[in-house]
Amino acid sequence: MKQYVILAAAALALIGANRLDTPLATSSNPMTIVLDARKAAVGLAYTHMTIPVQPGPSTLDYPEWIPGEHSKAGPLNDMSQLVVRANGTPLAWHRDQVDMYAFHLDVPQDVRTIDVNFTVLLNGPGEEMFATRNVMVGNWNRYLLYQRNIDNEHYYARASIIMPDGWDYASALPVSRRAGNRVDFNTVTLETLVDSPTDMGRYVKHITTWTGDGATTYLDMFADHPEDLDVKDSVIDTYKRLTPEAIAFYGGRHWNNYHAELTLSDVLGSEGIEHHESSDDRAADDFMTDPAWQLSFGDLIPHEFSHSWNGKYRRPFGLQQPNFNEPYDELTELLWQYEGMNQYVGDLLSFRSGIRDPKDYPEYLASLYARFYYEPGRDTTPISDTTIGAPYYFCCGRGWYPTIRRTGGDFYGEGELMWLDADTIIREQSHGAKSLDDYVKVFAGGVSSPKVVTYTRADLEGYLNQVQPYDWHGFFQKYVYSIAPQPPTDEIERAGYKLVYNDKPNKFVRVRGSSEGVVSWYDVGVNLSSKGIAMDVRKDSPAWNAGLAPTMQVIAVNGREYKKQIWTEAIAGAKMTNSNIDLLVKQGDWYSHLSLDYHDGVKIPHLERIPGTTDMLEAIMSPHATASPAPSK
Amino acid sequence: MQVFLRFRAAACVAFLGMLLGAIPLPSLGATLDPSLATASNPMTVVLDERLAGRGIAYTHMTIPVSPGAFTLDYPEWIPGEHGPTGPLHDMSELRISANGQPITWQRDPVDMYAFHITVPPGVHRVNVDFTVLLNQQNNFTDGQLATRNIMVGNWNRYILYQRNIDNTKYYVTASLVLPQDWDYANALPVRSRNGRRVDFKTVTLETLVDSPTDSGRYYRHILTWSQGGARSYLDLFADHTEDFDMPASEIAAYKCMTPEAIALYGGRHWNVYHSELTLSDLIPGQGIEHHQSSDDRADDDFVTKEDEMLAGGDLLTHEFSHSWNGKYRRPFDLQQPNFNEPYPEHTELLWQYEGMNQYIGDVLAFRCRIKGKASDYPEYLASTYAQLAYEPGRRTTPIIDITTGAPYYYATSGAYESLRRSSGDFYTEGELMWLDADTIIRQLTGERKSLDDYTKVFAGGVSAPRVVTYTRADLEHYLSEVVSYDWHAFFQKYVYSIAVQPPTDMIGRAGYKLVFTDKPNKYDEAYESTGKSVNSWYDVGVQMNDKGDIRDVREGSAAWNDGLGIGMKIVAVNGRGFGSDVWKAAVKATSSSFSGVRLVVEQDGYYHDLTLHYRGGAKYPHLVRVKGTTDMLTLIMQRHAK
Repeated sequence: MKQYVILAAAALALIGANRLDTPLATSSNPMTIVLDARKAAVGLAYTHMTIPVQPGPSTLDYPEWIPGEHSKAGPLNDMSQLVVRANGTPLAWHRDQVDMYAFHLDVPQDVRTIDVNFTVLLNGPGEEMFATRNVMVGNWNRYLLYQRNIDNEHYYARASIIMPDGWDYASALPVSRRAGNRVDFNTVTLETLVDSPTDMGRYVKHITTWTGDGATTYLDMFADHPEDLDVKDSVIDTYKRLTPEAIAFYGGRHWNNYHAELTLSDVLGSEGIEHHESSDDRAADDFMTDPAWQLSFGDLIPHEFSHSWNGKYRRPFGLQQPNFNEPYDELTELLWQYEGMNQYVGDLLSFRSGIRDPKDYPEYLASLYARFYYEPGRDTTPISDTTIGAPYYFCCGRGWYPTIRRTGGDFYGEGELMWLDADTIIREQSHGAKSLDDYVKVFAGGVSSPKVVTYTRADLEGYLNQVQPYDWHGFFQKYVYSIAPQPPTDEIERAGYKLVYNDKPNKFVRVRGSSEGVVSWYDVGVNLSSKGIAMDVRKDSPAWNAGLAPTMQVIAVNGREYKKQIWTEAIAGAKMTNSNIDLLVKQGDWYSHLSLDYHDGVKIPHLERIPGTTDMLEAIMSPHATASPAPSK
Repeated sequence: MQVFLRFRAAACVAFLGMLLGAIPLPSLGATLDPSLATASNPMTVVLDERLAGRGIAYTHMTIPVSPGAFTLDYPEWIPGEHGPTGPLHDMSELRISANGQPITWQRDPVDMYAFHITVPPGVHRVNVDFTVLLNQQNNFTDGQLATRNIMVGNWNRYILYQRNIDNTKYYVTASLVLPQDWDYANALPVRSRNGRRVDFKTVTLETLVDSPTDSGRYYRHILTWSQGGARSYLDLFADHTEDFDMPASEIAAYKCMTPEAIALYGGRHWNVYHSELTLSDLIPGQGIEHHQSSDDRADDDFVTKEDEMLAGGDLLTHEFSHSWNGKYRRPFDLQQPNFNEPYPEHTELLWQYEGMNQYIGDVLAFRCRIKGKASDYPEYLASTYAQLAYEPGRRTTPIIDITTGAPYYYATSGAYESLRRSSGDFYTEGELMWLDADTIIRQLTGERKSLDDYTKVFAGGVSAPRVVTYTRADLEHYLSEVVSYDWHAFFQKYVYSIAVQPPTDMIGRAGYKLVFTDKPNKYDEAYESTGKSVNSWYDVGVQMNDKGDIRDVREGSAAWNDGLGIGMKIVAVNGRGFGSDVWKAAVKATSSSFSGVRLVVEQDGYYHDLTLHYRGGAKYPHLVRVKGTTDMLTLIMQRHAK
């Protein structure tokens, strides 16, 4: 089975090696881009480019595979009003018949540079939003065309931005000049440009979170409302501990300056995309001011920061391609390391740095474990299918019954269980002498400027064996490459805990953003919104057997209007009786009764300590960095 | 021109070359594999719909295979959808087995629609079972596909098949298991029916995927036409039984559809035809063409409310016309041996496939009085023409980019559609262009000939379903057979170049002129009422929903210049809360006031005041007759069938 992967990868590598064209945009003659963001507030941005060309047939590509998005996510539908000119004369372009991201031109004799202008539509009703009245997320891949089939590390670009009046920006790009609303950046490679998101906004706060050895990290916050920038010092302090914890963990760094660019906007929504020397982080208005957000989502910045080592510096061989377009498809099989381990490390760093309280990790782990244990899709679909299929799982993971189909999120969450399992195995086998902290130093240690070093699955197994000999190949074969009816489980007991279900609340088991929503997944088998709408139903659960389905709305429970409390009391009450719970349910505009045959009470997952054992979770999640934040050499 | 075409061909070949390298799979037409599913040894599919009301369907297949490495494909390019829209994300719980033993499958690392297996020695048939999640949101062709009472069943969703075969030589026996008390409609021949189970006769894979199977609790089958052994049906499926209650005049209008179409095309290429129409607010509107049926999806009150017919009454006629234009006659590069890589559809010629079909669908709808009387067509034309004439994106983007880029344009949505243009443009601008061609033919021949003659050259005669392909040169040749004219230059101007104005001359040639008045256009009003929108495109330059959320702003208009944009909501107009009536009255009053329109606008939680500096009053498009000329539009839209 694995043969297919190797064959395809080999074919791609061959193409990459043999067929790349000579880049016409050199460091002395780069392409230029002016991103005019002055109309960002009404959802429009304009790009004005000059691109080096040579006479004759020429093809320009709009970036399709966007690094970090693991899919063909280039927002072609936001690109409009493309006008190409040579010496002021319009030049006809036409789109390729098969590759929608390729634009063909016939460049006249003697023309060596063309002007390219287009409009980028930043926002769609019901779509992902990229700008508000006060904030704009600027990803350079949206604002450029480039020569087809070149190596983006040898293709140069000089970028500028023009901001609305009174706005500021953040980016990892080196600045050559700033004058009023305009910022001109130094010439960089195309890879670096696309790797350097440039957020802008009216209400901005730049915080230096760490300096050492001439290197600096920043937290750059952009808010829709100025009061959302009033972050408590105690919260800022936890973010200041993040860099030393990460450097201590990985044993070095592969960035010089790092910007965590964070938008605080309900309109822009939640997102996190990793880059070598920055991250594009998007969170809710009150993300930095409401502790509930830090508890539930506090790994946002640690996760993306950790990717600078795991994902950007060390990268799966199939994910590293010479450019962003056909025929260089990303091969996403190894995302179980790239994202799976990173989910574990992002969480670990959030606990070690104090963004989240280390004491909360067992409850967090209980919520994570139970979610995967009770996911019906795991009976048919291995994690390797969700990583190999990531380009489509990422794009289309919404909709009904995500637990039957599984989702792109699974190789993150289940990845955390697997890497915690590996961590506890190393700790147990080495009698506490080694841990995953040693593995990551083999994997991504040392200090360097941004660069990419690729790896294979065999490399990873080799690194692990260096730290602690074990059948790591069998380990990944079992949990990634085969159908695993249970997620990695042994780490719980190994860490000194056992899983229990009872009716006590777990603060990580909740419907995000809804105080009246109910997670009844582990008892009845349904998650309900605050209005009683079934968001998902667990296959073969009592709710499933009663006939409940997504989008059905629970109107009344045993004759009482739906409320979280009424629901919970009905489930608890049914424990004492033989009679079923009566649900009045609305589907479309049809009402009907469903009879819920469940008598086992409320079940919420928790971890409990096993007396007399070592608490590995506490050892893992407590702060590790020494008082001196500077990395050792 | 020719440089352009040569260049296109060269680029295309180069690209395919790279694709071949990238995907280590057998490739082009020359190397199709022998089909293992034959007429005597077909693959089998049982579609179990019994949980449709809960958004789930199950498929149980047996597929002929050969021992060793073997690949199964899930259909990606769905005929009629013009894009790689196969709903992979709805496919789940895939299990493959042979003789009761599970077989491990692995997805291809590049082509997400391909599943690789190793077939054990001695095994020549595998069992394949998977679950189809019927109700995905957020996707263009497959929003909700089932309700408590209805299910839309497209076979491409329920099958895997042998990779790299010719789907006209690959055979399938399909069966359906219905929920209690449900009925179904489709164009497949039935072998036997037993209670809830229907077994169909063995057909080719192409025919199966070409035969959507709607089913439902509440249904109404109407025989709309029969002649000899040929028949056409209207099969209705509703969420509510009262939605079947259409007036007798409307049933008569739909009974007119078949004879009018046969008169227009001079024949037919189907034996039995089913218009399968779902009536449900929960299932998004859609229409997908097939040789002997159409998959039509409309709102609850589609056949009972006049505005619905004005706004969308060409749904069935459009899809029906596709049986000739699209299914029988098909662009040479849209026709592929199967539904998967490496056979992507080339969509350049959609300006005929969809563009002319938009015109014909409307012609049939007006000839049959489904969408209005013949005398209503000028008002309809004014609405269509003005929309395209006032679309800023046309200054940068030719129609050819929208047809070539159709696989992505169909999937687009979001802000400032008028800047980007949309897949709808080659339909509506196609209508203008083909009406222009119709009037040119009529004028040059002194009304002796018309586009009705072209359609007969293009798709006349009687046959069973089959595919005959065409090129752009073929179309220009057919037109020249009808009347000599520089058709090549005609398409070059309106399709292949940036056309700052849409085809315009047909308005004068047909005996009309375009005017803007402060009286609403009847069709634009129907769009507003069915789409819950407010349209001030030709005066202020903005479109909103009925709550004041801005949906689009016309570049260069007063609304644009004064700073209105996407993401804003108009809260108050001259001090009064926003409403369609309040807004329209305020715009109308600008012709007699000098103060502009004062707005309160909300954006992302901020409120601000904004004044529209606009004084032109309300403007709505209409066509008015030019005295002393022939009214060609009424001639075209009159009933033609005997």
